[in-house]
Amino acid sequence: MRVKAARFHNFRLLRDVRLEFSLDQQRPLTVIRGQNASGKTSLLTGLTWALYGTQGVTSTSQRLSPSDWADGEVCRVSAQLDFQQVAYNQIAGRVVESVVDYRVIREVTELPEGDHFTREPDVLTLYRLTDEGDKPVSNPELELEDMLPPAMKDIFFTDGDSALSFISSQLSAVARRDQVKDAIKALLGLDLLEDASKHVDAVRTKLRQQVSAAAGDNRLDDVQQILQKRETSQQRDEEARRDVQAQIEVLGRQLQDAEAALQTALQNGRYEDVAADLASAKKQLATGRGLEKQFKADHQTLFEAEDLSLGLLREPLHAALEGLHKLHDAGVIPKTAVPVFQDRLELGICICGATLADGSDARAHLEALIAEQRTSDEEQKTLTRLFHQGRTEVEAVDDPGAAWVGEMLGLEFNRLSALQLIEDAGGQIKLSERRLAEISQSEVVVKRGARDSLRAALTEKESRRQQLDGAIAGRSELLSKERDEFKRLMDADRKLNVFGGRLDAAEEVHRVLSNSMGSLQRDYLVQVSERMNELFMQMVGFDPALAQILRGASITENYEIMVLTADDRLVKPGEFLNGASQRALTLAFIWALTEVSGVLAPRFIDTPLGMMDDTVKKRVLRLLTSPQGEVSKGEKQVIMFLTRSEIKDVEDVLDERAGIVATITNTEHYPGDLKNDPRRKRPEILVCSCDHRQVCSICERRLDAGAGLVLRGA
Amino acid sequence: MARAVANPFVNTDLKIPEACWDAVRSLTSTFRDEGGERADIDSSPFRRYVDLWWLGLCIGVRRGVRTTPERWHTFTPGVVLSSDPWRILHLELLAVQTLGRESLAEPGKVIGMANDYAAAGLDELLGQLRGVAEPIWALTTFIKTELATAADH
Repeated sequence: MRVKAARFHNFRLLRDVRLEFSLDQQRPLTVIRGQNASGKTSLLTGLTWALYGTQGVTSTSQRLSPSDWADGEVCRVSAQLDFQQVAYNQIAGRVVESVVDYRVIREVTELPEGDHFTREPDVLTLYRLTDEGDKPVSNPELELEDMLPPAMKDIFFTDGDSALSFISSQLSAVARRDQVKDAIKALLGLDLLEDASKHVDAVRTKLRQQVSAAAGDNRLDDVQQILQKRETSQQRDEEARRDVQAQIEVLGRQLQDAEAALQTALQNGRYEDVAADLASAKKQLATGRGLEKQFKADHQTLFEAEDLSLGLLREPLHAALEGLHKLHDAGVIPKTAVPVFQDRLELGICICGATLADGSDARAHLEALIAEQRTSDEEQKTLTRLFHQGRTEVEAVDDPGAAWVGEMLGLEFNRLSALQLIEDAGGQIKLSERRLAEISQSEVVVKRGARDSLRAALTEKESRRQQLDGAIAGRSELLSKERDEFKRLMDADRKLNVFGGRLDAAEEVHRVLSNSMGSLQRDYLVQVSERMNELFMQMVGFDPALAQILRGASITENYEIMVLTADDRLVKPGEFLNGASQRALTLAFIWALTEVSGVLAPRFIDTPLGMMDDTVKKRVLRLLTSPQGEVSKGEKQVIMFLTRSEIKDVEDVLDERAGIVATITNTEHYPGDLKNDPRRKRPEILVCSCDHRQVCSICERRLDAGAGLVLRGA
Repeated sequence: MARAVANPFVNTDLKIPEACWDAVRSLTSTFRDEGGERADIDSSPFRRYVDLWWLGLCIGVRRGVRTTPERWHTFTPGVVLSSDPWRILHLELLAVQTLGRESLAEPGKVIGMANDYAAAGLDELLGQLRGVAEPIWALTTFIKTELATAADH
């Protein structure tokens, strides 16, 4: 399908709005420029209402008529869409395009009454536009459903913010999975297969009943009832098993995350060990400080050491002693006579041999000599003392200066060691204190608790799965026997052959449908996943920072969109990617769906480029609007609703890719944001043909000044 | 170690130039303790004033210079020398060498010589330690250099 033009009448503030859409395959983009609350969402809603009716409107409790429509006055609301259905047919070995033009008009009347309103059922008319005039199509609802199935609405009419729900961490995993699954199933028309399968199942059950009724054999009836009950139980258990499997996968990922979180908390070190390290470091610090204090005192003591004085005064001291040696050699010192005389007195005999007995002359003479010597000069005494002391305490000391320096060097080494000890201890204390601050004992306990809970839950689910596997396997065996029994009983009765044949056929069709559905889903899932990854990595893969941590994106077997990290972990995108990358991923998913489906339909998207920087915007825009035959596959028509800030910095891409650009303006934005008075009696949305580089008297906004926009005649 | 001897200098006074007094106080632990503050040895490497005075004397003797300042500050009586008897020996030997042996009978003259030597040596010593963050290390380096020079001779 390609849309050509749209027209709205009284659809909210779209009182009289006409739009055209680009059909140029080389410039497949149509841009509707509009600020917030300028009518973009109303336009999108109007288009979906035109195609899908009230099921296309997000909230059926919201009125469709303009909000200021007078109470009690009937309002006629209408939306008209001109479109083409395109088919490519093989004719005589050539692909020939055939185009059929249609016009769909949907009308409804509303009667506003204060806060309420009454709405009649809407009237849908579909025309085929031919050279012979507009021909109404019967069953327009069914025709439209065939052309653009309702299940595809959210794929081909996308709101950039709402699309994030495919990966939103605000939704449960089951809800996200179901959305993705439904999108894939809808796109591939698997609903039809499912419906067919259910229908065949009902037929099969009915045929069995007919078989057993026709048999008139209680045994056959009994077997049929048992078979039916058992098959119902089997289906129920298989469904339960699928759910448990999905839960196990989710729990498995959660357990992985919980384990990682616990390991991170534990990597900070056990609290007790770090506390012990801190205590040890503090003790080391105290020891170091004690040593430092002692060594400092020793250092100070060295400055009052005798060796220092001996070393510094070596020359004059030795010179003085040399003089004393001369005196000694001259016999001036020491004064030794008195002690010798006193010794002799004690002995009682002189050196010469004369007796020194009491009363003897010799003794008296000697005593007189001693008295005389004792009264001689103190100088001699001092000199003698100096001589003797000097010899033992100055001359006998070998190189006191070197001894002092040696002792000082040893002390310096000790002081350095003590300083190092203190520094090391200080560093260890800081490190330990920091680690203790990081470790929260309770955090480890909580994380361990969370991990253990998940483990327990996973074990329980695995046990349940095992139970179900056992029940399913056991029941399969019984079912096989009972089906054989049923067939055997049936075969035995010729009357049943007819029903038996039909039942066989129904069984076979059911089996084919089930297998096909499974196979198609698996195949398409892989295709969508791979294409999504290709598009996503083209959109964001250029960023070196992201490329280092991200390897790609994929959809798991359970329909969950995940991202693959550089270290091979599958993680939820909502928790790993920034806003711009999340948006890019959802766009990539939707685009992949539309491409893989092969459905030719326009892609409407409201504000897709929000939160993206200019580089990502350009890449996304180029990818999504590449003409047929380029990066993307298949024909394309893209309609984007963009704000001025989304357009900023991608004007050159729009110059290249946009076949049509129009601007919508809400007259209610005057005088706040709009520069010129739109002179309208009622609030409404106006359309002008200003492109992304222009403004006019209708759409010019106060903040457009300085934006480099060209003023166009309105 | 010198054995205990009688101290002939008990009735004398040890002095330093008044102009050096503040600097001497800042470099001595004694002063800080009196003020109630714990002295950091790295900033105040001398335990007592007499220790700094003695080192000044040694430097003055090595330079062969004696100085008599305009104003003296008496910081302690000579009795303090009894706590390090080897200083008495060294002083007396210096006196014999510098003033002659007859000076031994005049303790005042000997201490006067010592004060003059100390005044000269302190001037240079304090100059080495002025403005230094941790004077103990500058002092250590200065002394090691002096001893190395003494050894060369």
